[in-house]
Amino acid sequence: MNRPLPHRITVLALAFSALFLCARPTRATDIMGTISNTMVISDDSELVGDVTCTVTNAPCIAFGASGIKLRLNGFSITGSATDCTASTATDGIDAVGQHDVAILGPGLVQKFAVFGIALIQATKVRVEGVTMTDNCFSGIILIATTDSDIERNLSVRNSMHSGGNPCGGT
Amino acid sequence: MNAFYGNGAGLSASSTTPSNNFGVGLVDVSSGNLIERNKIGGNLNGVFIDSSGDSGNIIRRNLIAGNPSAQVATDFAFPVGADIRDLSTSGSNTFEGNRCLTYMGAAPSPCPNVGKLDDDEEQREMAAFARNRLVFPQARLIDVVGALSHERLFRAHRLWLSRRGGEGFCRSGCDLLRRRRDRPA
Repeated sequence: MNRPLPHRITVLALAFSALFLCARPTRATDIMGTISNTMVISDDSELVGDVTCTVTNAPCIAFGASGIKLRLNGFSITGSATDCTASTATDGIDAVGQHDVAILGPGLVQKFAVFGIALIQATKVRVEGVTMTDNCFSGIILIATTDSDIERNLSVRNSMHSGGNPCGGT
Repeated sequence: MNAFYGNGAGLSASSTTPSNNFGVGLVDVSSGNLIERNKIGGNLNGVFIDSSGDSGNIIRRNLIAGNPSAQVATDFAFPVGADIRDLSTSGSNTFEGNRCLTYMGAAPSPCPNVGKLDDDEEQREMAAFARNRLVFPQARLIDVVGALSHERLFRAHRLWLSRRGGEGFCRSGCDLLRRRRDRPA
């Protein structure tokens, strides 16, 4: 194909520009402060401060897309189940039906009425370096979740109010 | 490695049924999972496998001890839990090289197991190296150890590389070690 040189340069320039535009990283959502309604994340997100969660009967943070990460950056997500007596059903972080998502510590997920982290019908989930404590049922629970890596986490003092349900650290 | 400490709470100190709370639990027909190199202590049960048909799980090289804690064991007159509580069919899951003390479940019991000398791969290498040193007279020891070291370094380096993407990554480090290994005495 014998296109004139200026034409080829234009095509190359456009292709190069497109490459740069396409390669631009997805903007991360910054999270901090009080969450009173479930925060659904749809792109890579990170904590930039401690989070206090007052959501009831729903997760505090939920994955709304596959292929994204939530970085805790050393901050904490704290629920309102201080003594596990309230009859709410709140999780810290839920990933339901998602593929290839990650929750990356260090960071703390604590005092949720049900689960610290719930992975349900998800595939290829990575939870790494997270501390779960004082969650009333399980620190992390995997339900119908496959091909996942749960690595270098610490689960302490969970399942204080699970009654006869089989719950615990993970 | 994950760590699981102090998870679970008993229903009643007078209960005569062991708890189903756990540090790590396999419930509701869980299969094909690998539970490896975790530290699990102070939970009502360290590892709990229910009776729903969990199978093909491998539980190996974990440190599972102090489940339940001494205070809980004292408060509950009836045995409330164990380092490993396995309600699955005997032989349906694999236990290998776990350090543990107490077990509830069908025989054979994988506990107590406090390990053996040279149990660890690195420890075995070190012990073998030490034994090799001791079989040679002192006068020949320096050269022998030198040659042995290069060979071992070369092998260890190759192993390290193979675990991280194969020999394709082996460049200057491998060449240097290969030259030293093949250098005439």
